[in-house]
Amino acid sequence: MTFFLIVTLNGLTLAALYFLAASGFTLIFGLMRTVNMAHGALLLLGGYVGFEVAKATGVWPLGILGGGLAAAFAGALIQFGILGRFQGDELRQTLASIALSIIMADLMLWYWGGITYQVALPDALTGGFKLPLLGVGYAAIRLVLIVFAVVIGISLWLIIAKTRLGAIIRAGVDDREMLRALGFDVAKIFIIVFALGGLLAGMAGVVAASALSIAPGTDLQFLLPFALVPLFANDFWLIQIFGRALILGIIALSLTFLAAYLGVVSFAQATMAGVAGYTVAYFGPNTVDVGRELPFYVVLPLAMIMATLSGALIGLIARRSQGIYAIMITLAVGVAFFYFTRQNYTYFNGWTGFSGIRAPEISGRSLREPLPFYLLIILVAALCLTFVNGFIKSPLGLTIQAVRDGPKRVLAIGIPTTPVIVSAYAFAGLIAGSGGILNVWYQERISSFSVGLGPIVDILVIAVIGGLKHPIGAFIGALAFVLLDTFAVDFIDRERFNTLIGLVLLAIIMGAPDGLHGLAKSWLSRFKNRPIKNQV
Amino acid sequence: MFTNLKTITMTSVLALGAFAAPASADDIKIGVISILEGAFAALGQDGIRGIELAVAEAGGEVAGNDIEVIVMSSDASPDSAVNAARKLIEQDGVDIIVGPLSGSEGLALRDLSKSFPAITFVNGSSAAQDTTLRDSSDNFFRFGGDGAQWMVGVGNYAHDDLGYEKVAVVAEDYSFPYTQVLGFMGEFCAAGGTVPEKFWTPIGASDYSSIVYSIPADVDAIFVALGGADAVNFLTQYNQAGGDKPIIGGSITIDQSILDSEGPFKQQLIGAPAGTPTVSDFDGAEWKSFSASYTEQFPDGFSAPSIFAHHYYMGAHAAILALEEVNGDLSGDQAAFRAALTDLQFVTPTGGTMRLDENRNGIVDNFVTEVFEREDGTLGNRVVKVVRDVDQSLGQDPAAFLAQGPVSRDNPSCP
Repeated sequence: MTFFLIVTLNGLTLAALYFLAASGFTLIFGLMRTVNMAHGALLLLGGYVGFEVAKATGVWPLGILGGGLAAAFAGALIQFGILGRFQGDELRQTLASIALSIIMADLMLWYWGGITYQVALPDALTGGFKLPLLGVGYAAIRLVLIVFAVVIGISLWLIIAKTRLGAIIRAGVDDREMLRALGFDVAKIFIIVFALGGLLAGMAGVVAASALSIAPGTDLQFLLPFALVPLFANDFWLIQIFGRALILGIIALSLTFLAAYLGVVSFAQATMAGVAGYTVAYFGPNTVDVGRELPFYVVLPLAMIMATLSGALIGLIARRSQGIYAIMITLAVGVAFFYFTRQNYTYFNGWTGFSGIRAPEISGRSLREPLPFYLLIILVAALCLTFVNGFIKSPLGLTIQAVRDGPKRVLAIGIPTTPVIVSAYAFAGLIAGSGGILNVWYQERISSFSVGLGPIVDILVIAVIGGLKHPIGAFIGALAFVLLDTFAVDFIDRERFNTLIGLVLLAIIMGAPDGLHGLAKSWLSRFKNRPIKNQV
Repeated sequence: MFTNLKTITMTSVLALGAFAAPASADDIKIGVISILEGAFAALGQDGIRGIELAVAEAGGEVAGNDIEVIVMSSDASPDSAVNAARKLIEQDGVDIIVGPLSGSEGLALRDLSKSFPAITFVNGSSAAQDTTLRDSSDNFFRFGGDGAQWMVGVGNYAHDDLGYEKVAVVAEDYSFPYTQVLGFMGEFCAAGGTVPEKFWTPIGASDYSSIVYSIPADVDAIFVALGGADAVNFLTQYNQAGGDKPIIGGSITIDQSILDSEGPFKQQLIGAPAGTPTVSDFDGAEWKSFSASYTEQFPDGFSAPSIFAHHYYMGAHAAILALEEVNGDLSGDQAAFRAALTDLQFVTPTGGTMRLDENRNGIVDNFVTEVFEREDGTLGNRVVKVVRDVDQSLGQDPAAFLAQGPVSRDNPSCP
């Protein structure tokens, strides 16, 4: 009984904490359809400022207020300065907020350092609290958390449902134009919503820092790099730069394919690639004593099949989701797979993963030798591109595009959409799987890190900076990504290279709506004195 | 307007590219891999301080050749460490690599070193056991111990001196904590103690309440092998729940960087023993002077060198000493340099004599420490026991030690 109560309380208090952390995000998402990936950074900012205020004044509630206000201000600034410019363009908002989160996280790391802080609690909340029923102590701060969460939840509901401001916000979401016509400043209202979301994040940050602790690292971490160096065709450039770029390009191509022809942005492409990679690792030669070795001509088709199946399964899960909902659900699948690989030792060998994976040898020469490997990568990349271009002209490919343009009409003429969507995802799985196999040979290892949030976002960034309109964009984006990933640290103070990376990413997202591919295309057409085609 | 912006951006990208100035051919290039982003950034930065200290001591040159240090950041993942190493080798043309910081990265670089026999790899602070114990690589050197060596002395101290019979284990679920648990349990179980329950948590977990409330009430103490924010989170939540069992710390659980963190949980740590190769308040003469030059050179650093500064320092220091011995001669695939490294002996900052075993793993000093409160209210670790000459088999017969098999969640076990 005690055990049951404790577990229930643990669940409730943790849920309360997550509610506090997520309520601001949900508010902004629910009302404005903005996926604010910088929410974690706002939370961290609130926690740090709250820590400083609480330390300076010695009053815990003042810390909560200070942290909340600081994050509210930062949130308003983000919406006013950057995200508000792309209202309605959800993907670019998402990416711009990722860039912001990198910059903010890096700047906070600079100012507050990488050590862990914990906000001191008032004496009344320190230590255990004897619960009458339990007979054991329970942390008082955790009980306060529940109360705090309930108060916040009710106040939010009151503001949205019962006040004039709430009514205006809801009206703005439903029909922005009408609200504007009635004389309300919609942009200002959205800034208020963002500030409110920031306030919640900031306060949650301080409370979380009291119950847990704050330290950098909870933010999305990834690199977007910066540099071009004179070209030498040594092995480094051949494999580390161009080979790697092509491999990442193939995986990103599967995303570009889904985005361009099915009209969904999937965060699960690194997962499909990971499924193929893990299959190769488990059934191929490795040095960790997990799995069983099969000949490579059995393993390769098997890996492709597994990746295709994983794509189909993800398609089945996400078949009804469009727009940001597809982003969210595929992201959830990707993150779930990441945690599964990290904790399952039987098939995925947990944290350690697989090492010592070798590419097959053909008549005594390893495919992993630079030149053969590079030629293989080019071959696969070319095949995938051709395959995609052919596939979209096939009857199934055309149906997929029809589903993108008018799912209801497709249904009306008697074609069920589910099999079409699932086969599009399955095809994307096949492409991603090809890249995944090459990637595991390139790295010669695979572990949970390879399917984590970092690689997931990398693939998305590659596809978006390259441009989602045409398959070749994936490769352009990948080359830019790999160059910057490799050389950023050389060109900037090594402590601040992530800030620069975030700024470059932000510049591309804000300045080049169709990615580098679109940018190059419009430059070319200007160069030739032709009118720029309006691409919609 | 946007077009102009774009043009400027692209032009500056190209312009920056032109600055890749090649270094002079006589320079000795040392590539350093450390974690400079995310949760380990502060620790990785301290590792870099260790390198800078070693290079500064040598006056920035060896036998008339300038030392050039090129830093790459990894992000704790093996892939990132391998990519960083390949870039340092193939693009920057380094002769020696010092790093990495964490265990999985160390295993990955050990594997990679076999593909680059002409480059010498000197470990930074990574401490996975198998990096050198099983499947070792001829050109991978570790002038330091592994996670099990870092715990030597603690099991006996907890059992014999503190009188603990039953200890629960809370540790992160990957190779380094497995090794730490082995180092602790090896002695503790042999001395007659038992470990009824081990709790393995995913790294980066923030909620430990289910573990806090599952710890058996009849244990005498808890052995906590968590690092960084994980340790702070667990200790905080245990403290908030009113938990009062004594803590036994792993090597990075009660490192100086954690004692320098902010928070009320620290009171609970006073008196806690831990095993570590690095003690901030050690009063050996060598450590005093090492620590003094650290604080003099890095006023912004920690209040004393951390385990990371210490180990990156030893790696770079060993490389520089061996280079001096061969007058900077790296010809013949660095054969002379490696022979010098293999036979190298030097006095470590902790006063012992560093030398390598046949797997090129350090035979090291280890400390049993306890946390105490300094007069100014800050916390430090003080030494209660020094164990000299700890080898990788922890004093057991090497063959028998190897036969126990690789560490895992269930190995060793003494419920």
